[in-house]
Amino acid sequence: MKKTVTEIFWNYINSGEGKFFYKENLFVPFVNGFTLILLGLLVSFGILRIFVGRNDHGYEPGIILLLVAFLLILNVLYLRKTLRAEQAAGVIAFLTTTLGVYTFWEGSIFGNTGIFWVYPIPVLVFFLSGKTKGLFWSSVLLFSLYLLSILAAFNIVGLHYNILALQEALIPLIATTAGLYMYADFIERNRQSLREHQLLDRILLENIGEAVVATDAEGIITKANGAARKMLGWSEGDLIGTDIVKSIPCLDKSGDEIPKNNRPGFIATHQKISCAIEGYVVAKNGNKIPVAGVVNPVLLNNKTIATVGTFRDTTKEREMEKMRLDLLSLASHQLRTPLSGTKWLIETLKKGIHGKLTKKQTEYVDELYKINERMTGLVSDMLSTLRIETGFEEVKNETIAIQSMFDNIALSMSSAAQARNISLEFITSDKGAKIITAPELLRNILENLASNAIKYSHPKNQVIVTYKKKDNTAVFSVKDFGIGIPESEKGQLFNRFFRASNARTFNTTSSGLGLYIVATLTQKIGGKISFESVENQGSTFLLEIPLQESQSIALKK
Amino acid sequence: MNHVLIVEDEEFLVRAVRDNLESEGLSVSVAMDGEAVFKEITKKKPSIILLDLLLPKKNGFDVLKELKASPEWQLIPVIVLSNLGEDAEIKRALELGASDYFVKSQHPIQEVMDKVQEYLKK
Repeated sequence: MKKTVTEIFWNYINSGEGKFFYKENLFVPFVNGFTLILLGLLVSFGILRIFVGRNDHGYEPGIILLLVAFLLILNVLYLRKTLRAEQAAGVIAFLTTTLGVYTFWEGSIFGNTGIFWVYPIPVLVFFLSGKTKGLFWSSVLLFSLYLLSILAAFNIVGLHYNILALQEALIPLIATTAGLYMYADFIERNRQSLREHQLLDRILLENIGEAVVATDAEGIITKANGAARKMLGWSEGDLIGTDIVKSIPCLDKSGDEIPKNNRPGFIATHQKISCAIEGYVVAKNGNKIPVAGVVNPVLLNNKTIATVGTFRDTTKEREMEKMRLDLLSLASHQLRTPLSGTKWLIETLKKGIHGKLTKKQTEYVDELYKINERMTGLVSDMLSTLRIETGFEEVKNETIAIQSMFDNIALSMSSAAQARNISLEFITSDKGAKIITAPELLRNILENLASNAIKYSHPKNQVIVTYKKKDNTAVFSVKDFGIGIPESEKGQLFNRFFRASNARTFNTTSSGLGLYIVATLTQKIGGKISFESVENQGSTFLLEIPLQESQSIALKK
Repeated sequence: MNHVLIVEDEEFLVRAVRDNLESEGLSVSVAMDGEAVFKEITKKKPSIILLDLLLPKKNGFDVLKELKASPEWQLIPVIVLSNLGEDAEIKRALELGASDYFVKSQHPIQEVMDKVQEYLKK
């Protein structure tokens, strides 16, 4: 649809953006140039007036001009930082007002026609910056008056002198009003923009899926978004201004209340680190909601001034995880059942219950048995791997007596050690030593290492497991005098399914997952695994676990 | 002659266990689901029960609970033979009153036989 000229024109006026003159790279130099010229004229005339015309009119006119020049300089200096069309136009309007008033009082500075050359400028500025309708009409009025004065000057229209003088004063007054109007409009639009941004921020915060709670450095809640309020059942008024320790009780993974000094917010504030949120929060109705998240401190000049915590309800996640683990458990059962069937049936055959086997038959049956054992081991390792790779494995720490754990492992590994005629020894430097860690995981790691040590040793050899405390670290070592690890393959030892070349020839049945499991579990309990080995002489694996005194919750993922 | 009740739903496992028990001179009866246990137990009272956990109709944990709750059967030692190997499951069975727990795929059958003889001697 073809737009008429009028439509285009009004669209332009109403669009609020002067397409031509609003380009700051055109406008700014123009204003700067114009201002400088005006400045020059004012200063020179001011000085002239003081020294030349003072007998007629006194010093005042000259001083006024110089004052105006000074004000102009100040404005320009200010505007240089934040020059915007509207502000510039405002300045020009102000100037022309001054000139106009002065003219009215004194008679024109530049002679009767001189002022003509100044007035159109603000008119053009307003018109071409095209900000609003009101501005447009002010410009039209200005321009009409301007035309009138030209016509009057050339005696085309007969007008009394006083009316002319009035017009000379009115024009700048209107110009000033227009300028101020534009300026006010500009300020209002800025405020509007700011309000919109604030509204947008607030909408964003309210609609974020995760709960967000902010506090000051003393733990007083300053903000709680919609998701937080919904989860906890409190209204905004209930939470803001209250102590977070009282309003949002926190429980650890076992369901015990976390003391103030161990709360993630407290740790974040005082240690200036991000702290993980794990455990439960208690809602208004007393419900315990499992959550996960993080608290971040807000630092200014290296001092904590606020904290922001984000967390989410993990009930669904836990349910899914439980379902997954249940499925894993069922799968492992279903895989183990036929394997245990073949194992026992073969053992029964070998016992000779259904008749003694010939030598060849025994050999075959032994092979069947070995294959079955290999399969069983592989299934067991793979299921372990799947289990420890799931995210939610709850690492429950307990105080363990190291000697009793060693005794348990000695018992469970005794048959494997005996089968290969390996002497398995456990040495603790301190019989009463205790450690706080996840017992099943630590045991799993040590059993895996001991099992490897036995597996890769020649018969009638030794495997020594020791514990000692070094500074603030528990150090376990598993030493064997077996086949060792080739130098070139040491880097890959902890990779999934990796088996060193000499291990493969020495023992064909292992899955290659044992050390991968060891490495993963070590990471889970926050320890470090390393080894030293010389091929054909043996290996020593070292497990280091930091000893912790308190139950501090640190970020661990 | 000592009598053993095998509670197991997999045919080939029943066969392996029964053959071994009979070769050691023990008489055997078999229940292949959770409800059949009480039928068999009433027919002939065993000196020891070998109990699988994952069973049709009624699972082994519930069977164990009922056995230990009834004054007639609670003194019969129960050895759990199961392929459920989680610590939680083992703990639960022992807490419910099982005398022992074997993860089938991890022990040779002779170990089970030796343990049965041990309990029978008591």
